[in-house]
Amino acid sequence: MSPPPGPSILSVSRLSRRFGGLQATDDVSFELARGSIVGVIGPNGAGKTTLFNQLTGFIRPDAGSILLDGRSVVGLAPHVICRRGLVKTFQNVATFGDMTVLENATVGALAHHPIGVARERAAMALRRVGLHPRMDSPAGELSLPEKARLELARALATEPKVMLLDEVMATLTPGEQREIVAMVKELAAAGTTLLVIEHHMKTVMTLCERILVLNFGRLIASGTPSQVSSDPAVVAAYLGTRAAAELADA
Amino acid sequence: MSPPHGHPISRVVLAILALALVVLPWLLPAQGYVLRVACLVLLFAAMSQAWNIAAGLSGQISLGHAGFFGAGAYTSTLLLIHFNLSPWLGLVFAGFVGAALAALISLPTMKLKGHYFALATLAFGEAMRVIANSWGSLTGGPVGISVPFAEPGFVLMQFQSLRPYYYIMLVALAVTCITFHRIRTSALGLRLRALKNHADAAASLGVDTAVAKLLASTASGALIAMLGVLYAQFQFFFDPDTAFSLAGVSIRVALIAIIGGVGTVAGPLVGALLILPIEEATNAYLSSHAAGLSQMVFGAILIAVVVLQPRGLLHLWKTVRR
Amino acid sequence: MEFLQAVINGLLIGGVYAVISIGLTLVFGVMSIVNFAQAEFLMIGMYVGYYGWQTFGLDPVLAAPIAFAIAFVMGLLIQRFLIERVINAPDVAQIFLTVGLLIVLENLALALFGSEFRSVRTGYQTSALSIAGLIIGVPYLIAFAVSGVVGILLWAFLRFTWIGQAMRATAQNSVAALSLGINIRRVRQVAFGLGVGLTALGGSVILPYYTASPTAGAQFVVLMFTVVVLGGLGSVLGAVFGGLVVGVIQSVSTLVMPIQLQNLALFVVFIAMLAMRPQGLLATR
Repeated sequence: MSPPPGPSILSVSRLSRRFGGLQATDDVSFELARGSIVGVIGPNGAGKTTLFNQLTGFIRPDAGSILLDGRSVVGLAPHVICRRGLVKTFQNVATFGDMTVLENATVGALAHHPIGVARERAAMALRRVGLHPRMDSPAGELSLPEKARLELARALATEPKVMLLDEVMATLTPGEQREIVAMVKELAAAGTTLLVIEHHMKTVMTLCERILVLNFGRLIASGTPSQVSSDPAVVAAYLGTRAAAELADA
Repeated sequence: MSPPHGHPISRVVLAILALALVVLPWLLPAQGYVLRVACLVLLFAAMSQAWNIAAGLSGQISLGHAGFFGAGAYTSTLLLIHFNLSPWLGLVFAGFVGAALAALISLPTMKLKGHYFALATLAFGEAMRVIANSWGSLTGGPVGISVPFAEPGFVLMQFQSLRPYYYIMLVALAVTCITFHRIRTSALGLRLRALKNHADAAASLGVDTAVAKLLASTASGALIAMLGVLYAQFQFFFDPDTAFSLAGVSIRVALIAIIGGVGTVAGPLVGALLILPIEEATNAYLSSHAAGLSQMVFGAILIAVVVLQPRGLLHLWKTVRR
Repeated sequence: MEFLQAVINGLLIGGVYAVISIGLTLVFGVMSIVNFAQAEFLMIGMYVGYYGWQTFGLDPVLAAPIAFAIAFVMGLLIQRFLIERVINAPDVAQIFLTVGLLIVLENLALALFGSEFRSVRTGYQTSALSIAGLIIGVPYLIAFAVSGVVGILLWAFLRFTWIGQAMRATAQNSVAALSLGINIRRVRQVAFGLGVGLTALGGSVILPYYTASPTAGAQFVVLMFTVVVLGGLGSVLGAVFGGLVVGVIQSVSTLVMPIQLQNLALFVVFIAMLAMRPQGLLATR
């Protein structure tokens, strides 16, 4: 029997992971409310991707718990975690180059549907990111921004409860970024929870309701964008003068 | 990369080819050399297609398929010798044996990639050969085993003329091609191709990579084991070094698919059509000069193809067409 | 006592297995390519040794450096013109290139030398030393000694010469090596040449107690791979360790099972290693 749904869709408690001499994740705890958009920021090497890899089952934490919708996912294989409703996009493009755009998205949809229905759901996901016209093109031929959108569509096709977006904005034009931001907000409004790793400060501050700041594997701050940007620990560890100036404009 | 649908000219060409294939045996002498080669072309094309199901779709290059092939040949022949079981039923048992072996070898090699996987399967094939050579009481040892000669007839899958063999091989080829195509266009096929491209991304999208690989491997092993039965019935005699041969079976079926184009339905067909006749021709001309010369030519062709177009001749043809 | 004898024999043979297999691991470490044709160079070394003995009366152990030199040059050329072309190609291309090489070399030998088995006769072939009740065959002892010397030379080469260090750097991180100005192509050529050269050297050294034939290499394929997988693909020290372990396993297993099944024991070990600990027994991961 699974416990009744609580307010948090994802509960991470005292998560830790060490690699040799490096404490990559150090006693990290946080909760994600349903339908929220939470950002994860921190300097390079702060442990953001390692955190995501533990949430998705690619790395096993040394200690701590991860509850997805009340059920523990620690120790489960990545594909099982995906079917439970947690999916992530890849930072370095991981599109299936030999397959068409539609086939790429269909793989995601197969997580919950047989092949016939999966194709339809995949086409719907493609429409949402504006890739529907390209559905029969080999994915290897897409431009980088198009591949980023395909990552998103594939992940969407798995009908996730929680989506982990790993730097999707990096290769997009400002116009495309605005579109993705709008889409992410729509998703959140419809009930999907999003955890977003981003380096692009403006996006993070406008998109996210809450921000988690990591440094050296540790959660050094957590709060609203304005709280975080004025937190001295964060400013000291991460935000240089230039980024602070950006914030002043945002 | 499926053959072009609906294009009128290619439909006609395909139909003509199909007709030619069906009519061929009647145009050739019933016991002749050419028909014999034709049967082997069909058989190896089918074997290569079976290999293609696992290797072509999932990208896991196996160099040990001889292990399943020989096991199938021995299974049905031993059942025939000891229990008078018809090879047609022997096919079923061979299929099970091939599937079981494939599943067995799939488990320890599940996490291996590329070269490591090829190595492990190579060791498996060689291990089977050594076992067959040593377990004389079961297999007859290095001396080999003969299919007991009886009244030619359908029931015992033995014929004097080569023509029935030809049609059996043709049907086998059709079955393996259809199986390949059905798997490729199914959910399993999509999952396999996804994991071939990027295994982690596939896993994070919900693909159980272990199960997918296991299924492909099992289907592949079962099919090639069944083809081993056809081989046994066709040749009437085989020994461990031939049935479990690394170069003659494992490498050859992989080579055929690779030269023709891995992962496509047409690849094994193109490959077999090219390689076997050429091999026969070079054997005929060159072996009078020195042993091994024709095989050497093969090796050289393989190297040339790999270096010039790693994706195989079919891909070469596609790029030329553009 | 019988057990101790088996262990000693195993260690002696194992030393040679190590030298033979080091080349394989070196090639993998530097280029991430498994050279399926590696064992064919063993066969080439055997033939060099054989013809050196037959034509000039040269002891195969003395012919070993010549075998090394010939194989080294072959390796350089093969790497430069063939292997380098698939260095970034998909796995299937790399695998089949070296498989094609295996086919060409084996059949070339068949065409040139015929399929007869050839063996040498040396003065010390049947002599043995008796130490503390143990019998130590002289050819095996010499082979082991030569392996030891070669091993030390290799270690010195990798440690103290510029190109040896470049090879280690490339094996660790080829991108970083590039940025240090290391000519990676040259490094790969030398690594491959060195690798097959060592294997050929080993082939000549074991000629006193082995017979040469075109298929001689094939018998060593799984053995060599077992050695390097035990020690960890890419680790030279691992190959030494693996060689000794395989020698002992092979030797000890003859006490309990018939000779044909000896190789089977190796296969099982090999597959088990790949399944459970592909990084080798020595790795700390």
